[in-house]
Amino acid sequence: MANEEIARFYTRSRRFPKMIGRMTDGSRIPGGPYTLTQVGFGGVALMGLLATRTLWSTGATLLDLAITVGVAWGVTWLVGLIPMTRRNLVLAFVGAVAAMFKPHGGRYQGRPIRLARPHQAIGSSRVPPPVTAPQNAELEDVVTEQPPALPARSPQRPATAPVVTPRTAVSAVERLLQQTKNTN
Amino acid sequence: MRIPAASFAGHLMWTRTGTIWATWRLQGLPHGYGTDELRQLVLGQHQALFQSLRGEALLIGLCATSDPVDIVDKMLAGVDIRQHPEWAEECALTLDSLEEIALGERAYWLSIPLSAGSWRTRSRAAWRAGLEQFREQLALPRTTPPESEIAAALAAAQEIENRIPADFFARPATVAEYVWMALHSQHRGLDVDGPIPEADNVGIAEVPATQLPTAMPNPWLDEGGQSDLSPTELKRFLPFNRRYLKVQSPHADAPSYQVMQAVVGGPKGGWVMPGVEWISRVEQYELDVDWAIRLTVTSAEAVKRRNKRAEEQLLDQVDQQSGTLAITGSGSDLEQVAETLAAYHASLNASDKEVEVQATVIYAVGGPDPDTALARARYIAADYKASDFLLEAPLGGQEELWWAMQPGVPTSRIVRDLSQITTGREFASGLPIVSTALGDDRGIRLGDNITTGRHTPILVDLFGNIQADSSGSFGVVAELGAGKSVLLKSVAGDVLDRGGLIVALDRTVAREYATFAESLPGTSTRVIDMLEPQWSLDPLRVLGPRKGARMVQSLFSLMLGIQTMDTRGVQLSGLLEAEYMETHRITSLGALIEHLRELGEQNPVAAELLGLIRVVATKDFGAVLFDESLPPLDLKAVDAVVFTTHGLSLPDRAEVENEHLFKQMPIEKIVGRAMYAMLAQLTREVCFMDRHRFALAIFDETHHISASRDGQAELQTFFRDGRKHAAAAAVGSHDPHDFGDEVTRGLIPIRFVMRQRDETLAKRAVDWLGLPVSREYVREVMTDLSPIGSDRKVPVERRGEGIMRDVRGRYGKFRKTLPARPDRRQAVLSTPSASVEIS
Repeated sequence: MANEEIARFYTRSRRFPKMIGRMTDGSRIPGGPYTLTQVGFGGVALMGLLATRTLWSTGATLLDLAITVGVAWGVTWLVGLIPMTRRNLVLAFVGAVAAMFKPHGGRYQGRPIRLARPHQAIGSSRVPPPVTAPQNAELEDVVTEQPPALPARSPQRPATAPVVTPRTAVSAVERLLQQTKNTN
Repeated sequence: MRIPAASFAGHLMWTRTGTIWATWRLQGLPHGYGTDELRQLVLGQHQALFQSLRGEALLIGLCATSDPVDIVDKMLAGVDIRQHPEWAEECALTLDSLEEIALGERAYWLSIPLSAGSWRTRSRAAWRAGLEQFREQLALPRTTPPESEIAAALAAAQEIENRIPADFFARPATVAEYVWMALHSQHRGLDVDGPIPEADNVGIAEVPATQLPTAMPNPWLDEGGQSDLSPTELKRFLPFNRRYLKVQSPHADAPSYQVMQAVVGGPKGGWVMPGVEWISRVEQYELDVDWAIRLTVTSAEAVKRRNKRAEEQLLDQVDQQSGTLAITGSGSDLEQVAETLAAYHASLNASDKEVEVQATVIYAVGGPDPDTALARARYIAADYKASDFLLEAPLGGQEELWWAMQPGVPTSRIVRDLSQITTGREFASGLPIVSTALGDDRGIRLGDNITTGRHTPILVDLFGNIQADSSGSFGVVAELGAGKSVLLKSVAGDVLDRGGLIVALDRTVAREYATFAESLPGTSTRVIDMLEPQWSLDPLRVLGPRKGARMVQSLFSLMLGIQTMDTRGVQLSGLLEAEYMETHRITSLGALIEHLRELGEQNPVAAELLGLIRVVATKDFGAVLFDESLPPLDLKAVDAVVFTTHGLSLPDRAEVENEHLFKQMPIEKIVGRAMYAMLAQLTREVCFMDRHRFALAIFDETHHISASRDGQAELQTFFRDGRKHAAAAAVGSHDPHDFGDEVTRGLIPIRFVMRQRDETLAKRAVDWLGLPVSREYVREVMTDLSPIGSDRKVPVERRGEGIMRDVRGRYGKFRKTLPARPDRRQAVLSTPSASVEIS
């Protein structure tokens, strides 16, 4: 075909890895350029270490600083090893962590299901005592006087036997099925 | 996330977030086989659809199962089964056989959140959504939107509907469909779905009971199948191999495991369009793959501003990343980005209507257990990977993607993150909304549609076509043993069973059509053997004196060379005048001979005529015309007539057209030619007899009919006028050119081409179908249809494959299925097609 058209995704034109390689004055950052993720993680590490210096301080300020910078750079370097994917790294990471801590019972109507532990349902009830006994005795007498109602054996069912009325067919297939049933 | 529906009104859904969504059901555009123009048309319509949208939209394609009862119902439509028990039996058995196979089609919906409308409508909806939440907390009853709000939303939805291209036949969805969609996505992979509720346009007023969204099933969702593991298991915290979602619907016994994958990358160099239908590719799989596409469509103007910013960022990056390695360093990637951006800008500028489409294409597969679902997902991902499209099942995002496939759910962050950017036209190259439907809405079951991985029965209604003022004729082109006769015979059998009439011209020594017709119980069959007749074809006796006389004249003209206008012809014509025949009791050809004998004593012309006639009458092939002891063929009382013509030979074209060859022609050929012409004429008479009864004439090995000009003319009459007399012709041959000249060939509306291994004939067959004679199509006809295996046999499951063109001009691949009744199957298959007589 002469007029072949090519279709493609242009996602990369908009979403490409942004990097920082130069200072504001235009000079190169050593070891750069760094991705934004790297900068972010490195920055967080740097801040974190500085803020918690009191916890791990060696006592020597210079050594502390060296350790801080070293660790922060290490974190940056490690983050740099993560391959660049098409997806937002942070989102993917959050997703993975979320997957680990999904509720064990699943979700129903937007809420995690927590099964209640088996527990005993305790309750009490009172059964009132029978009112009077003599009345019952009288009744029993009446019953014994009646003739035994044994020979009700002959089934009187024919009168009430269900009459099988052929259902009127609605669709063509029903008619077909009915017809095949009749012929069998 | 909860079921988003708060209230329904017709095809509108008020959601918990306050947005109103409108949903339409779309029809797929015919696609599969076709010409380049057809493809461009389908592409153009998709493009128009995407370019007409603005803002967010959700396009859904779900695999729906069809009910076998539905199909058999369509087979029964218009036939009274009390009168046609044979057809009833066929349908009953078909129903059984259909129960065993998975039937289905893909249904499409377009769902759009209404952003249009005044700010008042929108703010009112938002206010109501908040109020609803509050009322729910207090366990107060829900409220429904007021009439005015519904009216405003309907008007806004109507505006969108008007913009959807008409070819998609957008129809407002119903609440039943919303519920079906929700249930389907909860039952994915469990095969417990019912068919899609077909709406006959239910208005708003008719559905008050379902206006409240209580009908929407609330699923229980468990990402990663955590509930399948023990809470103490450490594996709980290793979700990497459990990228699936466990869904338990309130209406199913077992949970469904589903894997959602999104397209995260395409070939860097792009793909050819049309040609690479990357979204509808899932149709080719035999497993059910559902998809949903989350779209965000932006006009080109806004996009150009974004691109401008991207370019500025790019320039900055070039500066930032300068000094890195030139080839493998990150700086070289920027060149690619720049190239992409430039191409994008050019593509956006190609048309003023162009838009940017940010699309997240999500494929979902399901299964009754995690392994099945994962295996299915891997299969699709591997297949897409082979064409450089990357599918990813995001970890921890399965539930969100699952929700993203349903209308009413706002676009989540992960959906945006996974989206791909392209232009409207280029996104249309995926051709998502297509259909490969073939055949008619009812009729006989011709076979299965095998254009895609999901096989659905093809119904063909020849009589219905005639009633709809089209033609019911069809033609089959195939080589020996490819299934031509089987197709013709089984269609003929079905026509008979449905109360039609068939007439076949059978020239095989094996008398295959005669054997077939005789094996049909309950039909009155007449087999007329030309050499050993049991019935007489004497036109005067069969058709009566008036019609018969004309046929005798033309028969003698061909057979005996009696020209109409010479003295003998005039004499004959005089004898065949109605009154003359009546007074002299000429009621048959035998009587005519007798009368000529009497006349011949004085009249030399009559004597000459007698002599001529006796040349034929005394031979064995004369019996069928002149033997008065045979009963005449009773046309009124028959269901099937088969003329077996083995023993009659035909002249070739050169012998007819070349005078000196013509004179040397042996008597067999002269008589054969005349007989064939008469048979064609007789066939027409039989078929055109009753306007209310469908009649099908079958001309297998059509070149015998079309070898003579008269035969060709008869065929053309069939194709042209058959419709008016409820008659159709079925022709079969190895070569479409046997059906007649270009005009005659073009008059056949329904065309089948089965395997044809000869290249020249395959090319002709493809050309006759109307498809471009490209290498792919020719190769398909030569090698891909019912391919012959190493044991020189076609595997059973691949027999009877072909390409067809239906009456609406759609193309697709079919496989002929055999009749469901075993005895009929036997009758159809008894084809020693190799023993065709060589003439």
